[in-house]
Amino acid sequence: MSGKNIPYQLRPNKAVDRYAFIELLAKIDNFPSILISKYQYIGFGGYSLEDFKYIHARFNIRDMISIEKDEEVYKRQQFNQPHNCIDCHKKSSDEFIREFERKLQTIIWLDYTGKELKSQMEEFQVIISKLEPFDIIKLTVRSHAPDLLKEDEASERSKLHEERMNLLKEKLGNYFPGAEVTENMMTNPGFPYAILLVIKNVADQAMEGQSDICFQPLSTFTYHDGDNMLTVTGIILKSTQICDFLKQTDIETWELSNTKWGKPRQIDIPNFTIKERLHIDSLLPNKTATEIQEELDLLFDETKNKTIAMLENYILFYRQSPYFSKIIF
Amino acid sequence: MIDIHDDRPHEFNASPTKKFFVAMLTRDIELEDAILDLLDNCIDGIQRTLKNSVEDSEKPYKNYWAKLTIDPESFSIEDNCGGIPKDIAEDYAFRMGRPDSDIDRDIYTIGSYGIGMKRAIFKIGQSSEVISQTDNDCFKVTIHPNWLTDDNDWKLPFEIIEPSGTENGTLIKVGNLHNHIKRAFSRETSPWYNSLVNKISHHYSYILHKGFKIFVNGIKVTSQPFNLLWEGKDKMKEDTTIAPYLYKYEEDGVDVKLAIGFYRNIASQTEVNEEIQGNRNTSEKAGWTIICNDRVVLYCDKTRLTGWGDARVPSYHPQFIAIAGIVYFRSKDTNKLPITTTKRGIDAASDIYLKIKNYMREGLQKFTSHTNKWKEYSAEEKKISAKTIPIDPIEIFENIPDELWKSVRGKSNEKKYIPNLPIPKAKSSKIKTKNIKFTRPDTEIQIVAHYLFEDYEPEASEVGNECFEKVLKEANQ
Repeated sequence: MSGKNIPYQLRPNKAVDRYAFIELLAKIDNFPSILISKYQYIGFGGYSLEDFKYIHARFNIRDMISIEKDEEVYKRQQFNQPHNCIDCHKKSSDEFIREFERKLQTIIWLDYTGKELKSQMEEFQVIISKLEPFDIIKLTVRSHAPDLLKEDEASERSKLHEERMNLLKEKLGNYFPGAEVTENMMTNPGFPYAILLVIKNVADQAMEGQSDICFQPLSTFTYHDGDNMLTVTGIILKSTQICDFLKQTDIETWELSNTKWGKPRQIDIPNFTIKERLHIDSLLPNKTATEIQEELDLLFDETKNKTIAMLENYILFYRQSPYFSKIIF
Repeated sequence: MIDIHDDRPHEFNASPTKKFFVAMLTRDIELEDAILDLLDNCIDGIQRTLKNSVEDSEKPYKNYWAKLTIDPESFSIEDNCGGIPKDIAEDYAFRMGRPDSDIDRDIYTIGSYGIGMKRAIFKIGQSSEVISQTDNDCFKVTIHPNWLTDDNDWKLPFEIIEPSGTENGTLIKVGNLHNHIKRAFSRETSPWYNSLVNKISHHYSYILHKGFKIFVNGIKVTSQPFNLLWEGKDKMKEDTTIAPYLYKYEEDGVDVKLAIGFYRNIASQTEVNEEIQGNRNTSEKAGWTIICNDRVVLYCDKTRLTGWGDARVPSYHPQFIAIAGIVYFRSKDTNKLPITTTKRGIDAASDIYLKIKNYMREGLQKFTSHTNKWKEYSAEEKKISAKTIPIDPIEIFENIPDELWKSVRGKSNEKKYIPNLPIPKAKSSKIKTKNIKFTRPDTEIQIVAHYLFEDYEPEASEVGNECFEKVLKEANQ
């Protein structure tokens, strides 16, 4: 279900996304009527239940449910259980979501890696219509344009984007947001935004006829640890609470927030050596990317401009970037 | 009490109130359909413009566009489709209902009741402005909110104005929107925009394909072409071929063309099971699409209305996911087309539709029975389908050799082509066959699939079939 074969240390961008999620939850925790430690956490933990470890450690959530359909991964999960408060269910997300009855304040992370976008959207729609105000949902899906049609599979090179869009339309049926998604989004860099608009449309459809509550997006990121992924975190809110919530939690001014369905931010952590990274970190937060580049006088990419762009992305996420190093037990 | 000595004529007021008219007109029409009515008027405008010009048969609408601008405060639709001629404006464009007249009698329009534009305007808001520019005139009509409540004033004054655009066309602006319309138009929360665009993309798919451009808030609406699988002209003369069933008919000013066939390979058992369990949704393109004067009036219908489950044709089932059909009706007299008053539905009781439905059923029977013959051999069928190309059925009508048409009941104005579809080898020969069916864990099927097919993601039945083929080859060596 969740990247069962790729070690986490090879997915630094996903790790950044996870830290950004923890930071967001901490901000949500600042809202007066919210107490994250009392929430139930539901996720697709994968074989190492990594996100469960972080969330338990940071917020002391004790009611945790992991969903896993693969027998072998499930067995490894049981072996790797980091704490004894995780209830591992061996079932598909579809089965879990159909049976799900919300009883507690909930945080759910639907961390998909498969290509079945339509059924993922159906599950997302079902789950958000079962959630209550202040429940938090994080959705991660593939946003890899070649999944629809690879470049060399188009009938003509010039028709690639048109054909990709037709396939997406066909795949999604009524979930396809025809008023918002255009052919020029059918490129590798443009595709995550198209998928974000699909998610927005699905959320809007789930909330249709209920003008008093809404799914409020809080952050959206895209990253590439092999294939392009898109992740959206949002909260169910009463329409009258939106302004207060964004203000009191400081999410409104958080540099990583995306509260209006804008283009997702790209997480692209450069591959620095530890020495380079420690040096750059020592210059932050008060120096700019250009200043750091000039001071170091090193090129981390082909050109100076690309290096500055890379440093700018790093500055945005340096606080969430993990250090991976070898440990001998 | 009535005074019998009162010598004034004894009569009650039976004239309609505007409030009644407006409420009745707008009550039973969906907002989306009301907007589609405005787009229909654009197409009618093009038909009037094209009347005297040489038609580009492939893309007759390529120079024409309509732009819709929608926000919570206002609505507008602008086009370059020729404008409203003054005689039509005087005769019915602004009247509540169309009087009998010969206007538009010789062109392929779709409006016949004269209510579309007014109904859409009143559905959306309380004030409006209509500006029309043609070769001869340019005028502006303004409707104020108080006009809608004044029962004595049934006249609409117009002003002659200077042409403002370089192209002839119509601009309709609606303001003072009703509250429920404002909510539907509020972009932040409304999925209504996407639903409107999807509907436009379905109902105008044929027209968009012929070159017309529609923009909704600056975004161009795209459509998917309707194609059916075909093995080519030469293969049609061979014993068996994959080609659609075709039928054509022409009488009393009505042209009909019908094509039904496969738009994809037939569904494997796994796909059918997933569809039934609701885990897949690929039925979207299956079923009948009916087009009247280039407008799609019924999209991918899978009900009794189009012959499914009727007179020995099976009801629609995911097994028949690959079957799609299209019927084109064309007439200069709108009354001869089998459409309902909303123009978004079929008049199932009309004689012309009942006649054509016989051939729709015949075509359905052909392809449902072919599917049933092949359902156990979907892997083999997939290989045959791979030799076909998807093509617009109109091209097949143009390319089919004359000798392959068969006249229906000896009539020269009614012809059909019935393809000889291939049948599975096992069924055509006398070799006795048996089915092999077995169940393995999903993970193991994936391992074998990756081993045999690498990146390609086959159906479980294909994996099983390929394993058998491989071993059979080895055993025969």
